[in-house]
Amino acid sequence: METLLSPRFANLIKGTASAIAVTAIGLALIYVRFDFQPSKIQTLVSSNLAGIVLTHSHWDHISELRGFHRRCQSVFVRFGDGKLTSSDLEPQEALIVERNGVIADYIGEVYYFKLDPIQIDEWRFIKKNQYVFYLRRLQPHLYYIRFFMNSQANFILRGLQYPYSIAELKFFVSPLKGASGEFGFDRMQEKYFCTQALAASNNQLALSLTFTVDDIARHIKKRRDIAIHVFLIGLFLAIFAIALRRKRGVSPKLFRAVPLCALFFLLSRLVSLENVRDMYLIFLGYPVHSTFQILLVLLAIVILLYIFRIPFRSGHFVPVFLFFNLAAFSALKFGDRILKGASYDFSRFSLAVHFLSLLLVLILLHFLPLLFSFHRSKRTPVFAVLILILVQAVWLWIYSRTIATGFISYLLLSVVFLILLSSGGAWWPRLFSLILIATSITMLLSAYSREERREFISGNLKTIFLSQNHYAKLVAREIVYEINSRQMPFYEYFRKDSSDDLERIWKNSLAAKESIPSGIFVISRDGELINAYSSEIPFIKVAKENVFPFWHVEEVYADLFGKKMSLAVATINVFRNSEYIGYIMVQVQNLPELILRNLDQSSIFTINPKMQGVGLSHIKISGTNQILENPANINFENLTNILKTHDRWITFSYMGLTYSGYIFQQEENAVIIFFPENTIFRMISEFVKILIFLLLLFLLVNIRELGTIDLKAYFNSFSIKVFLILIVISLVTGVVFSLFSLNFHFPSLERQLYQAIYEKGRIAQNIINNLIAESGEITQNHLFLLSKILDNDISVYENSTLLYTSNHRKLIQSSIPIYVPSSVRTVLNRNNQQFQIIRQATSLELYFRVPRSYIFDIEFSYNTADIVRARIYYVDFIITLFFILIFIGMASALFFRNKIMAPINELNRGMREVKSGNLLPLGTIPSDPDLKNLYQGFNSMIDGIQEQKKNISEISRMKTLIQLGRRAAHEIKNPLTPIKLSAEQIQKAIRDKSGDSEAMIQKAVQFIIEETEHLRKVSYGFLDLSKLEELNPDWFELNDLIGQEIRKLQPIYPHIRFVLTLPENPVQIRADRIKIKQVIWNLLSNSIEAIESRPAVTGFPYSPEIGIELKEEAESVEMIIRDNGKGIEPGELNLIFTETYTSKDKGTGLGLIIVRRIVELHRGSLQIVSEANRGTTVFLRIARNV
Amino acid sequence: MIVFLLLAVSQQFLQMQPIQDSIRSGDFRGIKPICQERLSVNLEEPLTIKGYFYRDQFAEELDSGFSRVTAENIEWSSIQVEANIAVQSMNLVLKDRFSGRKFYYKLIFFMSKEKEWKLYYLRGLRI
Repeated sequence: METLLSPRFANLIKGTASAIAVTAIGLALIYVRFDFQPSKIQTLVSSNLAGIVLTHSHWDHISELRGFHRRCQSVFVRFGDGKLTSSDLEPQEALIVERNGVIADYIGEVYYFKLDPIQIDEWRFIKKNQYVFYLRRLQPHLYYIRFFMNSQANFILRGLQYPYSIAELKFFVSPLKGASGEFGFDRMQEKYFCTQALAASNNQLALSLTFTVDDIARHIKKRRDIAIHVFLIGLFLAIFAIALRRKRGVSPKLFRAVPLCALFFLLSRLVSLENVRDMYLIFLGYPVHSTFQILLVLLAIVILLYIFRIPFRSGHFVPVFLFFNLAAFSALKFGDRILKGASYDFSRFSLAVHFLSLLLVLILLHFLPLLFSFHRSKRTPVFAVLILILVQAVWLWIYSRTIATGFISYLLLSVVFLILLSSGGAWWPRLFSLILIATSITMLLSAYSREERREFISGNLKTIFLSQNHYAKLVAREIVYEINSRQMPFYEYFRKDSSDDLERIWKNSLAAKESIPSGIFVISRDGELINAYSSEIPFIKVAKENVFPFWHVEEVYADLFGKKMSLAVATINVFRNSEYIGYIMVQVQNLPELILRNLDQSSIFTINPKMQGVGLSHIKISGTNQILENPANINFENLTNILKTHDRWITFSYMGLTYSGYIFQQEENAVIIFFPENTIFRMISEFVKILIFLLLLFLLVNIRELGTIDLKAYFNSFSIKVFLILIVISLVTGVVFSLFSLNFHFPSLERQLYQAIYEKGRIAQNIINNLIAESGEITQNHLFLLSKILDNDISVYENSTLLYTSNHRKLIQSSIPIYVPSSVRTVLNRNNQQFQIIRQATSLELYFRVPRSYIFDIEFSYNTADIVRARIYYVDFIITLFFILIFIGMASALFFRNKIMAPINELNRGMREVKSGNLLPLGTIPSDPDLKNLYQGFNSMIDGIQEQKKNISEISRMKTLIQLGRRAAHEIKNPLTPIKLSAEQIQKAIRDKSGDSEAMIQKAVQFIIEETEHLRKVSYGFLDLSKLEELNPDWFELNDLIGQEIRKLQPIYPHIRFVLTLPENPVQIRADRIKIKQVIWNLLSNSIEAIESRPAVTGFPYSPEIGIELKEEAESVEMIIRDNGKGIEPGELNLIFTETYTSKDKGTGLGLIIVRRIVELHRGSLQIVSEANRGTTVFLRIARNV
Repeated sequence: MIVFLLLAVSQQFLQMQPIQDSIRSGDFRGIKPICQERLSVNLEEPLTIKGYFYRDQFAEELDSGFSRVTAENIEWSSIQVEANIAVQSMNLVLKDRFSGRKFYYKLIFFMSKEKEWKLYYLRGLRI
C-alpha cells in the first residue's frame, strides 16, 4: 500500500476506514433490537428507589426538622417567661394563640394557619397550595408554625438528574401508615407504582414512583445510548491518539482529521440527548439548547482550523487578502445567525457561562479570518497595503448592503488585517488589534441589542398594545362564560342570598387568576344594586342601552372619583316569565396593567429575556395632548411636535439620558414605547470588560512566550521600577476613589427614596385626618379615593387586622385575616415612631398610625428594573471613570518616567558615544544640583580622555614614524650592499676585460635591475600604506568578488584545487570593494606561495588545495581561507604582523600589515592558525555595513 | 332563544383546526404557518415557556413543553374579534404523562389579520 499510494491518500484511506469501522460498531450497538424484559422492572426500580431514598436521607430539609423541634422549644420557653417579642422570631415562623377556632393573637410573620386536631406537644405538616408548613401544638391554645418547604421544588429529580419525572414528592394530610415501598400495578392505567414514606417527616411526605414499562424502557435506552456514545468517543480518541503518534508518512493530518470530525459529530449527538435549555441556533436546523453545544461549535471551528488551515508561506498578499475577505464574510454571517438566535440579553457583559460562550464564539469568529490569513505571512510593502485599502473600500461598500449590523465589525476587522499585514511580527500591532477587535465586538453586540429592542417594540409590542381593549372585553366574556357555565337561570341571581354564587363565579374566572379589577353586579329594573361581587372596583353606574336578552360586550367610559375610566362591560337583560326584572352587568376595568403586568411579576416588557433590565416603558397621550399613562414619569418638552408623526422611531432626552421611542396610534390616543439608549459610560464599560477578557485570553494563548521573558531583568531596570511605582500609585488612587464613590452613592439613592416615601406618607396622613374628622370613620370608598389620589395601593387595619384595602388581591391570596406585621405593630406602639417602612420582595410598604387606632399601609411598588438600571448605570460610570483614571495614570506615569529618566538617558547616550569613539561633551547641563555635578563630572572626564588620547596619538604617530623609518632604512639598506658589490664587479670587469667579463657584467646588471625592482616595490608598498586610511564603501556581493578572484587564479594554477563554500543567498555587504579585493588577493597569494614552496616529501601523495568558506552572521561576515601549504613555524607565527617579517625571498613584508589594517578599517578581526607542513587557516571577519 | 342560537353560530373560533390538531398530537410543526415570524409567549407551568421567539423556535419549544404532558378536554371558551385583532381563549386539561397529575389550563391566543389570521402573542395560565 505504501508503495502504490501516495502517503497523503493512504492516510485519508486509513482515517476513513477507521472511522467507518468504529461507526459500524456504534451502529451495531445503537440499532440492535432493544429487548426489554418487564420482569426486570422491579430490580431496576428498586435500585432507583434505593438511590433516591439514599439521597433523601442526606436531604437538608429533613435534617432541619431536628433543628425545628429545638427551635420550637426555645421559643416556647421564652414565651412562657413573657420575654418573647417579634424581633426574637426568625423570618417565616410564628406563634399563634387560638380561641374557639379563631385567632386571638399572634407573633411572627407566617400568614397561614389551620386548626388541626393534634395532641399537645405533637407536630405535623400542613399544606397551603404548594407550600408545606411545620405546625406544633405547644399548649391547648398555643401553636408554633414555620414554613418548611415548597413541595413543587422537586429537588429529587434535580438531584438525580432524571431526564423526566417518574418520581415526585407527595404530601399526605395524615401520617401515612404501612407504606413500605412495595410495588403495585394499576391494571386500568397500566402503570406500576410504588410509594415510600419518609419516616423522618412524620410519614407525611412520601416518595412516589409512577411509571409505565415504556417510561422505564425509554430511560434505560437513553442511558444505554449515552454509554454507547461515550464508548465510541473513547474509541475515536484512541484512533486520534494513534494518528498523533504516527511519524511516518507525508501528511498524517487527514488520518487525524477524520476521527476528529467523527468525534465532534458524536459529541454533538451526545449533548443533544440532554434537555438543557439555554440557546437555540437556527442555522443548525435543529434545537440546540445547551451552552455545551456552543462550546461544541467552538470545537468544530478549532477542528476546521486544524484541518483546513492554509499556509501562505509565500507571503503573497493577494491570495491572503482574498481569503481574508471570504473568511471574514462567512464568519460574520455565522455570527449574525448566532446573535439572532441567542435567547438571552447579550448587551451586557456577564460572567455567566452562556455569555462567556457567546463571547468566545464571537472572538473566535473575529480571529478566524485573521488566523486563516496570517499564517506565516510575511511583511507586505506599504504601497501594496495602500492599494488593498482602496480595494477594501469597494468591498466594504458591497458588504454593507448584505449585513448592515456587521458593517462596523467588518470595517475594524479590515483595519486589523491591514495593520497586521503591513507590520510583520511586532508586538504593538497585536495589542492594537486586540483593542480594535474589542471595539468591534462591543459595537456589534450593541448594534444587535439595539436592533432586537426595536424589532421587538415595533414588530410585536405595538400589536400587543393595540389589543388591550380586546383583552379587557375577553376578560368580561370569560366572566360571562363562567356565569353561563353554571347553567343557573339568570333570575336566580336576583335573590338576596346569591352574592356567594357571584363570588364563586368571579373567583373561578380569568379576572381572578390575573387579579384584574372587575365585578359582577345584579341590578334591578329600578337601578338598585341587588347583589354584587367585585374586586378592587366599586359598582360604577354606566348608561345602558342594551335591550336584548343576550350578552352584549362593549367599551364604555365612566367617571370614577372625577377620573375618566375605560371599562369593558358585558350586560344581559333578565326576564322572568316574560317580565323584565333587571340586568346583570360585568364590569372590567380597562387598565394597561391588564396586558402589561401578570401576577408572577413578569411583565410583557420583560417577557423577552433579552429585554430584562433594558428599562422599557410607555407613555399614552390622548388626542387632546393629555398624558393618560406615564409610569416612568418622563417629562416631554416638545410633545406637540412629537405627536404629529406616527409609526416611526423618535429620539428624545430626559434627565441627561437619551431615549429611543416608537410612536403609534391606538384609537384616538398616541402611544410611545421607549427605552433608554446606551450611555457613553455603558459603552466604555462594556468595551473595557471585553478588552480585559481578550487580554486575558491573549496572555493565556501566549503563556509559553511569557515564560521565556526574563521578568527579573525587567524589574531590575530602574526605568521600569519608576514606571511601575507610578502605575501602582495611579491604580491605588483609582481604586480608593471608586470605592469611596460607590460607598457614597448607594446609601444616598436609598435615602432619597425613603425621603420621597415619607413625604407621600405625610400627605396621606393629612388627608386621612381630614376624612376621619369629617365622617368619623374610614370606609372602603375612602380607600378607593385615597388610592386614586396617591396612585398607590392603600390598606387600613383596625386592631391590627385588615379592615379595607384598595388591593383586593391581598384578600384573595390570604387564608387567614391579614394582620399588621408584629414587628411594625411593636414599633408603631412606641410614641416617638410615626412611620415604619418594611421592604417586601417587590415593594416598600409604609405603615403609619392615625387617630382611632387605625394603621394605614401604603404600598410603593418600586420598579426593580429601574433600580437595577440606576445601579448598573452608576457601576458603568465608575468602571468608565476607573478606566479613564488608569489611562490618565499610565499616560502620566509614562510622561513622568520620561521626565525623570531623561537626564539619565542623556548620560547613557553620552556613554554610548564615548564607547563608539566620539568623545563629545554633554550639551545641556540640567539645573538640578546633583545632576549638574554628575554632568560636569562627565564632561571633565571627556576632556581628560581627549587630552590623553591626543598625547597617545602623538606618541603613536611618532612610534609609527620611527618604525616606518626603520623599516624603510632596512628595506633600502639591504639591496644597497649587493648593488654596490655588483657595481664594483662591473667596474672590475671593465678594468680586467677578461673573457668572461661580459657575462659577469650582464649578471651584475641583472642583479642591480632586480634589486632596483625590489626597491620600487618597497616604495609602492609604503605608498599603499599612505592611502590605507581612505575608505570608499559601497554595497556589493562578496560571493561575486571571491568568485572573480578564484576564476583569475584557477587557470594560472591548474594543479591547485580551489574549494568554494558559500551561503545559498548572495551575501550583500557595504565595504570598500577595492580594498577587500586586495585583502582576498593578498591572502590567496600567500596561500599559493605557501603551497608552491612546500618541500616535496617522498612517498606521500600531495594534492594542493585552497578552501574558501564564507559565513553570514547578523552584523558581520566571516571568511575562512585554508591551505595545505608549508605552514608557518610556531616561532615565526608571532612575528608575521611585524614590519620586518617576510617568509619570501623577495617579499616586502607589508602584505599582512596592509591586510590587517584594511580589516581594522572594516571593524573586523584577523586570526591566523598554522602548523608547519600541514597548512595555514586565516579567519577573517568584517562588518556587513561599514 | 333564536338570538342565542345565532350568537352561538357566529362564535367561530379562528384557526381552530391547526391549533387543536397541534395540541392533540403534540406536534407543533402544523402551527407554524399560522404564526407571525416572531411572537411573544408567556406560558406558566407546567409548560413554562417565556420569550420572544422565531416561529421555528416557538414550535420547538412547544414540542418540548408538551412532550411531558398530554392535552385532554380541549374546549374553546371565548373570543373577541374587532377589526383586524382577535383574542380568543381555550380551556384544557393538561395531564403529566409520567405522574398523571392534572393541570387546568387556559390558553389565550392574540391574533391579528394580515392575509389570514396569525398568532403574535400566546398567554397560558393555570386556572
